[in-house]
Amino acid sequence: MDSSSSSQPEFDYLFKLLMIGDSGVGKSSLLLRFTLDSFEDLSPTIGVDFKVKMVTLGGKKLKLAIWDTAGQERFRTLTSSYYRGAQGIIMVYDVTRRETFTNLSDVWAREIDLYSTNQDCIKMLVGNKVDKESERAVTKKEGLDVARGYGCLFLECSAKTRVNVEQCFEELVLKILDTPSLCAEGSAGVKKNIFKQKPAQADASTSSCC
Amino acid sequence: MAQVLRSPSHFASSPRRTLSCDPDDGSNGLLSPSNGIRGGGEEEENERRGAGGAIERKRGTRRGEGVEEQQLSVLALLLTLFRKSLLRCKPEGVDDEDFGSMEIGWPTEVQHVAHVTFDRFHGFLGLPVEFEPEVPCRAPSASATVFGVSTVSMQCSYDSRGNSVPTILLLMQRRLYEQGGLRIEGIFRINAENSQEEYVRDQLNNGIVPEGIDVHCLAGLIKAWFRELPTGLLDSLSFEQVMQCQTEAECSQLARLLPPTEAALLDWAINLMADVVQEEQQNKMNARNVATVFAPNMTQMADPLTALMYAVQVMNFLRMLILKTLKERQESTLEDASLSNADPSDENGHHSPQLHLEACIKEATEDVCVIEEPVVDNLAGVPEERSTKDEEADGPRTSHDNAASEGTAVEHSTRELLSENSARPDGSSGCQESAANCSNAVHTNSHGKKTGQSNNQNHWKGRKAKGKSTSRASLSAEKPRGTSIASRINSKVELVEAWR
Repeated sequence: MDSSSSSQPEFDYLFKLLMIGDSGVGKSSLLLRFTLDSFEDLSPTIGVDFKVKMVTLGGKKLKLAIWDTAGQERFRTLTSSYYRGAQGIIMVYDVTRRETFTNLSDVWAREIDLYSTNQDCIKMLVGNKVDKESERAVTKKEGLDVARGYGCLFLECSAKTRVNVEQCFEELVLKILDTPSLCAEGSAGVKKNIFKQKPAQADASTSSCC
Repeated sequence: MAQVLRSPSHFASSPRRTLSCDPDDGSNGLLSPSNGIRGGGEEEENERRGAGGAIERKRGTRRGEGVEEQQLSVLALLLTLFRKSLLRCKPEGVDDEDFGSMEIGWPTEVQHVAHVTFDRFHGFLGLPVEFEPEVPCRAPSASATVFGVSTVSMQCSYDSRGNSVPTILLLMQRRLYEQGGLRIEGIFRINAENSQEEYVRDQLNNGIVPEGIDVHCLAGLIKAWFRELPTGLLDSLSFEQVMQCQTEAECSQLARLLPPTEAALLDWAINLMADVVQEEQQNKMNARNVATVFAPNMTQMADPLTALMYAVQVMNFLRMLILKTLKERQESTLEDASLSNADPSDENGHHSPQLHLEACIKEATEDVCVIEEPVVDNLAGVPEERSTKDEEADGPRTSHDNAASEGTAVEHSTRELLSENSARPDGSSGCQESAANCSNAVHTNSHGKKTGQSNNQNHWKGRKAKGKSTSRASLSAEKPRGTSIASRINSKVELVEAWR
């Protein structure tokens, strides 16, 4: 904190992403796969979990603050405040459990309407657990149709096998970068988040200074 | 106008009709006092009939002129109407001499039909069949509403440990066990389909227990029931008290501070959770997982952030109690085994709900009905290597959870940044700072204070022992309804067994 501060920001953009969906669909697993590239049996999330990942995309350094909410019913009202200011929302369902898919429209889409403050916020529908192909209960086409209906992105992935996990976040972030209003919110010049910009020294020591 | 006048006459005559339909019963003695009244005869009756405000005026008129009628052209219409109504009444009045007894206060045809009692466990007892349809089918609670209602106003039954618990909870629990819910992966963690849960909840609130409820729906509703109590189950315990509980002994000590109703409910819930954990190999729900999904439903807090932090404490509290219960069960089964394996039924009711479950399943397999239900797919999909991994992962997970128990997710971000290999391994000071702030806010004192509660404890034990016999009775009373479900799930159970 106290090191000599230069004008070089640690990142170009900071985006807040939110993950929602029923309990047990694999939100935390997706996030764990994306951030640490590992996979394990996870306990249910309490309230909200939170991880940060730096990515470089299209020559831009991005800091992704990803909020992983609990799917437990009790937390539905509690997590409402986390929708605020999110640039991207990932709606996860489990392709082997149809309820998780229908609940997205019944419950979670409504939550977004209620709580999301960001009109332009990019939404993404993600069907997880495609590794269990034999147990599939929701077809890809159904997912696509719903995604089209909501005007959001769509991907099927597997946190267990890594399939499409990176792409989920990548596509979402690219879309955010394509949206000027969201870009402006997330640009490093605007400090509205709890994260302060890092002093340059730290930055210089770790990554190639550009 | 005509209708206005006519309808009261109907009212007056209809009860008479019902009473006279059975004139030869022994109620005549009661009629004698009514004869005196009958002197008033028709006039009175007309008065009674003309209770409506519009008729007030006319009555005066009629009295003044008697049956002479006519002349006053203004009243002509009214009188004809009155005559109409008189005509309607007269014949009835004639064949039924005792209509004077219609007066409220003169019961007729009194007859002892049956002695009916009501108790909150079995509803109406001794009710004649012909009256049964009028009594709404047995509601699961005293007030028909199930959710969001205090236990005080609910119909309770005793569980196998003698806890007085709302019958609806026991019912949902039994269904859950019968349908093999304890072995379903992620039971109590996984949400049911929202629309089904709402539907079933409505039905239960109306006093109807629908058939074929999904196990996740049952589990979800049990959690919802706790969540929607007017006051949270653990609300009488203070934040500090719960925070200070670190050991199993301290936790069970604290649990004894709960008022009796809550204590009974908690004991029931903990045993339910222990039942789930005993099937951990199948359902992947260890004590931590079950406690985590129950914890947020056990308290009610207005402030979301406090609720979040508190949920972690409550989770630990519940986990300790679950582990303690499991230990006790293990000990008692060991004892039982060492003593003898004589009377299975005694053993059954005694300690282990595991055994109770076995019994349920046995009962189910005895039925012959076979209906295909594809629910077991979930189970079949559990890869074996994952269950072994589950055990291995226990170590790392605890560190994970310790971080969580500091109260905030920001802690994760710190670790995240530290382990992050993309950019800068050492550049996380800012985050660490915020993480430190947060963990300060939830700083835990590691030593709890102990309170002597031996009195309470004795009371508790006594209550338990007392309840035991009652519970069995009520369970057997409810059995017939259970068997139909049991037979439906028969095939499922078989499949589960086969899979094992």
